[in-house]
Amino acid sequence: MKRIDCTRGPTLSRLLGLVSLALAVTCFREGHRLWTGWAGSGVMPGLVGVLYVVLAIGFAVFPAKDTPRAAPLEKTQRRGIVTIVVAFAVYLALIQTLGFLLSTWAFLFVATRVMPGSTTIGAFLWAGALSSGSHLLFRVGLGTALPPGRFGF
Amino acid sequence: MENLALLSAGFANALTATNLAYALLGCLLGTMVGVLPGLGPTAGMAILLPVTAWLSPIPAIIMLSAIFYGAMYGGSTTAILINVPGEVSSVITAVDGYRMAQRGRAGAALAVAAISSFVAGTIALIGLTFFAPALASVALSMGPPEMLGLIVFSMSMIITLSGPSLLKGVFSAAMGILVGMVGLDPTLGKARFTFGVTPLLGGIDLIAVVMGLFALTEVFKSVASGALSISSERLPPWYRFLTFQELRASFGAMLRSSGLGFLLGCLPGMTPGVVSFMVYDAEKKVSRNSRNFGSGAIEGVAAAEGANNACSAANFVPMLTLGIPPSTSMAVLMSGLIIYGLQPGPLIFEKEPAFVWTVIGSMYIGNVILLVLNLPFVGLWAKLVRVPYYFIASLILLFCFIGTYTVRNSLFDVGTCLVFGIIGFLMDRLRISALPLVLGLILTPLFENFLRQTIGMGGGSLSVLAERPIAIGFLALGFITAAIALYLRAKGAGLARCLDAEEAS
Repeated sequence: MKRIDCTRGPTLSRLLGLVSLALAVTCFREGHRLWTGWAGSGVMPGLVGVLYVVLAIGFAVFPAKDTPRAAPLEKTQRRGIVTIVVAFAVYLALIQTLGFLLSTWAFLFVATRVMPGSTTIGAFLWAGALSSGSHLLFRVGLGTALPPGRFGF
Repeated sequence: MENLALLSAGFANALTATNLAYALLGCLLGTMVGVLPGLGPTAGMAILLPVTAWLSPIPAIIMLSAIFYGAMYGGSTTAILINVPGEVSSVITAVDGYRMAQRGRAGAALAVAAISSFVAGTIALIGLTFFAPALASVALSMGPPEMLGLIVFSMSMIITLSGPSLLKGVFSAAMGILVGMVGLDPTLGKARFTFGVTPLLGGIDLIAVVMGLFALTEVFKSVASGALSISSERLPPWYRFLTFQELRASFGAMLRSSGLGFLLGCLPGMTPGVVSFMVYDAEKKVSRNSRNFGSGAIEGVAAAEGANNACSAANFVPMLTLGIPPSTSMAVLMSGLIIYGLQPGPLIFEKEPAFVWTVIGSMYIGNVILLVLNLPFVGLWAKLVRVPYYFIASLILLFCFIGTYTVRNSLFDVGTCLVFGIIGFLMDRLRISALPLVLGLILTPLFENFLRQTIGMGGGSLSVLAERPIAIGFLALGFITAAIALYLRAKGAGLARCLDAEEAS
């Protein structure tokens, strides 16, 4: 993969510093809410809050130097990753309705198709082989409790 | 002598047809995981953990352990033949191994890698056999303050695993600690960081996090790279096999790297990747052939492979005896033990001797299986890297679902896996190492438990620590280790390359 020089080291440090600060506030609030003494539930959130404050100071005082980083993603690569993420989320939403076999087939077909070098027919057949093979192995063979869906498979 | 009697009983159990079959299967899968770059032993074991769920504990752990040390063997094959290290621990093997292959000495490099791995594995297993039970009996006398000191010592290793930026590494560890606190407080049962979301009451599952960070991230990275397969390079010619002179020349390096690799591997945070770099640097300093290191020295291949295999066996020592996983791979194996109702720690040698000694016995046998698998079939393994990546990636996606879902039958856990896959990919793009996150996640419950017990013993303060010399010793060791790691980091010598490689993994 092509690599380019990055000039965003300090920007990233500032961002991570702000995230640390926000998390420190969250930890202190949780620690305060649960505080019952030094051996209580609020100790660890408090300690982690302190750690985040130290980190926020660290990022402010010692910002990261500009270091080489991966080249920006091309449009097709970005689209491929987003497609897999969205397909995975839709898969999780539909699996209890469609069942493991059908939803896995559909998800793996979409995910395989967006990967470099795959063809529509190849992806369809490979996804079918994987989903039915895993259905037979885990659900039928090993009795694993995979979501059956409305159709029972 | 008692250990030998227990070990021979363990051998007898390990040599039953079922256990032998699972050791062989684990070695095959481990070698495959080792050969394929990206799919490391951590993800490999996490993916296959649910597959072993229908087995009884002994064959299941035999198989998972074999995957772990099999990956260490397999990683060197593609490193030597096509300069594509299958594992981080094989990065240094490629330095001299690939140079040898380019000169037509691939056969010699592969042979010395396999023999060195075998010698190191055997030496480290002998160490494990005698050292682990002794350490376990010492650990039995340790109370909460000592365990707290030990965990602080383990946490100091986060500096080693932080990658090129210490601050980013600590940030990653803090994220892991935060994630580890989500759910019901282990002592008083109060909900923390759940924000009213009911499934979060059960906490965030370690397997879901590991699968997301290491397996799912790998799929995203493969799409981002646009590569059709891992490599399409042709295999180099083999020419001559290993000569007796070469074997004699590399034998000293094998023994030294095995000993040092074992000792370092017993320390928390010392992963095979880190140790192979450290030992290679040390061997370069003492070797008579140091001038040729980096340009195809057979001693370099022997040292790197000896170190990573000795370390992988040594990693079992802190996990089995203290219940502290020294690496993420060991954390996955440890969660496997817990799923089977076995609690790693000093008592496991007393309560489950049949289990522990059968697993150790199977590791000796696995070592021989790997030697047999790796020498004659090395060309076959190397061809795996030409398999189109979409075949492998879609398999990873499938196992991400099955692996995460079947642990608690929870779709929420699969969603968590997806979220951590995205986080892992972003961390990779921003060069933030994911290893400290996992270490933080694993050590947090232990740290909190012992901290609160120690505070309880001290009547609301940590004053009890002052009366416990072992605890003070561990704390001091933690600070010294942190100081050395910071010094090495500032010096930026050989270790820096290793940290870069760890992060790149």
